[in-house]
Amino acid sequence: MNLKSAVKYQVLDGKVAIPVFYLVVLCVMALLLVSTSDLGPGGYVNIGGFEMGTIIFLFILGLNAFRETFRMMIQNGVSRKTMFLSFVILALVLPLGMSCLNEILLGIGKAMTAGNDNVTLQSAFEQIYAPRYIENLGTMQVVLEGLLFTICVSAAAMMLGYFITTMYYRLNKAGRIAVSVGVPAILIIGLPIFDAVVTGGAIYRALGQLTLFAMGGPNGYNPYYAMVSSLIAFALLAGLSWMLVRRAVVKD
Amino acid sequence: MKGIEVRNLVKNYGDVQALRKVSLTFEENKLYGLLGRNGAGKTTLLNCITGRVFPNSGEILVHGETALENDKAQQKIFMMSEKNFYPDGMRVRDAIKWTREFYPGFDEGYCMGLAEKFGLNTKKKIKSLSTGYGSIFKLVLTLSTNAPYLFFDEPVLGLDANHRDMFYRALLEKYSEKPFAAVISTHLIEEVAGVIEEVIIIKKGEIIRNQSVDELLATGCTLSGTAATIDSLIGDKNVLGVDSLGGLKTAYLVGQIDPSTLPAGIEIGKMDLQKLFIHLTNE
Repeated sequence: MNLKSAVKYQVLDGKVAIPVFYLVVLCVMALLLVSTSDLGPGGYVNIGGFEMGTIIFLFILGLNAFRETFRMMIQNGVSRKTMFLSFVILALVLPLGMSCLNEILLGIGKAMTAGNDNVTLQSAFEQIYAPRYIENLGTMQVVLEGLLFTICVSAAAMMLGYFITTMYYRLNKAGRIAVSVGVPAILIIGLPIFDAVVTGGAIYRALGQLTLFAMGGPNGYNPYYAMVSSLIAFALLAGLSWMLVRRAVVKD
Repeated sequence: MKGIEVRNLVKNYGDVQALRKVSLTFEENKLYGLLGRNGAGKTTLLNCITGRVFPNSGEILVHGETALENDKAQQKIFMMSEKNFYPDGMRVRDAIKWTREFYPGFDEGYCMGLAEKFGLNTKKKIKSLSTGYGSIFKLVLTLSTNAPYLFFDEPVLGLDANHRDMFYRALLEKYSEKPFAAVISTHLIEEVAGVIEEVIIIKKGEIIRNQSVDELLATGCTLSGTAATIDSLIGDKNVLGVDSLGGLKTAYLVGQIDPSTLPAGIEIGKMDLQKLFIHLTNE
């Protein structure tokens, strides 16, 4: 009963943000379609990557999913376990629903631009994994694999947002400052300098290769690598988040 | 075992010992006053029971089941906190809707009726409510949950005398219709003295009294009369305090006095809870 109510609360918490997001997406799509309707001879434009917006949106939703919800649920006698489980369910249901909606919108957009040779509407997934679909672009396989890809990546992004926000919640002021300053300083200044001076670029090469491998690039642009990598990231982040949530206490 | 059992509860905040091996039981259908000075550990105790903070050690059982991280146990308790735990943008009516969702026994009709009585605007955002109406909102919600254990932490904060009276009346009316256990943590001892049956006094994280109000008040008495006579009577007694008005005096004494030993014109009365509290909790 409590889990059901907790999930309902979490889902309805985004009842304003999600429609606003799709309103923006539709406006941007409409604007692009109108502005590219008459490109003239030789004009060509490739529009796409809307699901990246969904991934970023869900990451931000994850970032905003803890503090207020935690207090509200504690007030209403919901255990940390139930509130965490409700978020995990949300982080699976919302990416699923939004990815399906993305595919529908993409399909509508493609149908609308079908007669226009100057405009190509593609998802980010189709653009990244184009070599895999040279011979079967537009088939159901692309749609299904694209759908699974977006679900997995956006679920991981949402859990990453949740992990960051719970970590900040648990840290004291000094810790928050240390992470806010330290992590960007290491990633933007420290690591590049260290990599260039000491390891001769080996670290960033390795990171690049690891990212490519995780995305399935070296294996025939296989998106299932990215899906599995995202699910592993989701599970790891969920585990870390749970360790933070289970001992969280209300703060003034 | 029915009730909320707290066993050897310890809670430290750094070097500060907020609760020192606290053990007590909140029985069903009783009205408790949880009294203590600022920083005595009242809110910490209630926060531990409701899982808002974790104790360092000890055990809390609700109807025999562990209270910590237990949805079933926590659904039996609703705590009205001094602080606001509701989201910034939430409106009163939405909070009512969600409390009904989490507490199936929630009586929405009663809630709306009580809100109207208090003049609470349910369309308003919780954050925009004044201190008094913030308290009223939480009181209305708490009384409407129909949870068997209601905790009120400083329930009348910011309330004017009329609203405070309305709250005590609403509490007693609700209790008389369908009894429940209520724990009222407050500084306004005189006001709550007429409402509570049991009193728990906490001092520096330790329970120093846990008994019925009548029993506690029976540990002392008041003597009233002319100043000179009272002065002559209390010389060798443990006097908690004295109130003087013109030539009349009232003395608050620890222990009982045989009325037959008193001279004419001296009245013996019940001890004042606030006076006793001040005496018990003084450094």
